[in-house]
Amino acid sequence: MSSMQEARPLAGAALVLLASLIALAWYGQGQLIYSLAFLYQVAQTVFPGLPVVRGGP
Amino acid sequence: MSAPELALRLGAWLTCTVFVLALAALIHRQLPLGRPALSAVGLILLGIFLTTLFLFLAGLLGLLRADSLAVAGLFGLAVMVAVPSWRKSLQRIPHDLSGSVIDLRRFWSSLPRWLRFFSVAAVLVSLLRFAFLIWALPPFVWDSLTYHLTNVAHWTQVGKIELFDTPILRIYTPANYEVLATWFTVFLHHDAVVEAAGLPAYLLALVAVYACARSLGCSRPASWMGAMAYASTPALLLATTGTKNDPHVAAYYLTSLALVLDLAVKRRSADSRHSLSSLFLLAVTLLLAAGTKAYIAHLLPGLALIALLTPGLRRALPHWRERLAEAAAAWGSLGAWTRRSLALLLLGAVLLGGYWNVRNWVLTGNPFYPYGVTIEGARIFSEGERTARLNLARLGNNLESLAGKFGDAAGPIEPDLPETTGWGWFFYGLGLAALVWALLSRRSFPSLAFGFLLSLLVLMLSIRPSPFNMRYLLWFPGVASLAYALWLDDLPPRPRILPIGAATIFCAALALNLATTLNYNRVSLDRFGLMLERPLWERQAALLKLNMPSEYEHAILFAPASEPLGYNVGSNGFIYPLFRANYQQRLVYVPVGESDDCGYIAARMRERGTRYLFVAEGHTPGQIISRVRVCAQDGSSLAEESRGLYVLNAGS
Repeated sequence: MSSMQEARPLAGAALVLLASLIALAWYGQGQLIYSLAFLYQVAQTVFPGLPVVRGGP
Repeated sequence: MSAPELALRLGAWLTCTVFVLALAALIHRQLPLGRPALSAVGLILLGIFLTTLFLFLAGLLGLLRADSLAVAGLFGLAVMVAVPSWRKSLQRIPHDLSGSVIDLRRFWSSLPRWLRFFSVAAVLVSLLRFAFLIWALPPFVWDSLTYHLTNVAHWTQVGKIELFDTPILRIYTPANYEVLATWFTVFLHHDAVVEAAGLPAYLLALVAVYACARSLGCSRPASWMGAMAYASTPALLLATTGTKNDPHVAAYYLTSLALVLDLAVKRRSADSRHSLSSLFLLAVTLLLAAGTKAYIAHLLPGLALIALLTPGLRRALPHWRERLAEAAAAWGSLGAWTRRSLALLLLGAVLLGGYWNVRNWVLTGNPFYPYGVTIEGARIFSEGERTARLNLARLGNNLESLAGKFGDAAGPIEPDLPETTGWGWFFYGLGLAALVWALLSRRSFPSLAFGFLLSLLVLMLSIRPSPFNMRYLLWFPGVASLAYALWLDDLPPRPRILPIGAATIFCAALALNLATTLNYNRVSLDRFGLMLERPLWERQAALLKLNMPSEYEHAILFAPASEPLGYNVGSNGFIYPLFRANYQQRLVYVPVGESDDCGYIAARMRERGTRYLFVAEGHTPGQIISRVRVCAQDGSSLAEESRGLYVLNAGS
């Protein structure tokens, strides 16, 4: 197999992973705070010293 | 509920479960599918179908009570044991189970070690999450409290599937999901576990995605990761315990896809009965779906496109002709009893698929009542309070609305999906990138993707543009999960950073999806605390104040459960909480007009056999609330018992 043929799947996989990371960062901008809000609330009951964050449920 | 009564009720439930599962196993043996994954899909589907059919027939006969069902279940088991060929078949169940265990072991040993650990953790956490939410919270999702569970409550209360007098006309819509949900209320005569009604569909959808991926040629680990990814979709997770019927439609769509792919991919079946089994189960699935929610019809063109394109457009006709010929030959080779049994089952599926619409047609002249139907401006059926439209303008509006929701940036993902798609971290993170990759590099994938797209477009020709309409698209993230499974198998093992990176992102995305859904993104710890302070049997939908006006709590506290409670709500108001969790409260609808005088309202209440009238802000039209308040203030006929609850004056 030529090195060109070997490189194609590698490049494809690397591109998909890179695109995924960018997409996750983009999606996380909106959703991260909501996704972690409840876990944070639970953590606050265990560690009452944690600062209060507005916008949770 | 006393302990002996609870034991008896659980015994009845267990008897019926054994009956339905034994029957499913018997029929499953007559429908070999040739592949373990598809076989599992078939078994789960048969379980759902037979449970629904059993309850449906019992409901029509007025036998929807724990004792009657237990007698029917025992009788069914006795018949199965009495017929020699069935008994022989039943005796082979342990052998079949050991075969399934071997298949499961083969599957398990194919998974890499890290995936086994992750799978165990994911399954355990999911089970705990489902169990906790079902146990801790009463139902609270809007559509459930207006019509889905209102049907379930009325049927459980009266022991019969029937229509009843209510302003919520959506109780007329196809209700196979509600029949299945009754399985979770009728034995306990309580709604403590009704949120579990979505779990069979969730399981079916999960296994169907796995079977689809296997049909596409994916390895077991890749197929399993694709299936887990789909199962972590927040919109699906939230709806599963949200007592809504959309997870069922999604599961039926994906099951149909698994069966279609199996038929379309195979060049020639090793056993002609496989084609017969797949076609038979496909018919059952689509009929079950037709009696669950009408929008399955809008998804069919996409499935048809996949069926046409997968074998290749030119080969499609001979391919499907060959499959049908195989099925016909297999049908001819079956024994007379097997043929009769399968024909009877198909008749049952036709009944479940058509009953609701035929009933509506007979009663109202419109099979889709309460929806009138308009296609490109032409009225097809006019009777109804709402109109289902099919036109290009609606498609444009819906696509524009989807563009706004894409990326879930507008707010938290909640069960009603306000302004969000609910497709979650995996879909937007790994799924989309894998989708683009699969479209560009896998020749077989575009036909599948176009099928999903066509289903989406046809659906969007008709659904009402609204902030909450993405619940109809719970099946859609499946395409990204399948693309991801294909991509995983193409992932080079070296350099190690690639598979390790892929696995890390996968685990992180699924964990975040799960974290999003731990509390439906709307139930605070305090609210959980308030519910958990009460014993399980006293957790009421009326008491969970997420979207519940205080009037409902007052009705539970102050209206006597021994007397019928009159109510007046609008066409989108909550009724379900008034039944109470143990379905003891009899309800009667009291129609009140804005201009009715107080004497007339009192006469209406007496005529309906109630002393009480319930109204609630946001659920009863404002003018009617004002009218009733005026009557209570003038004191001649009504008195205010508590907020929203009025009682006839003794002398009126």
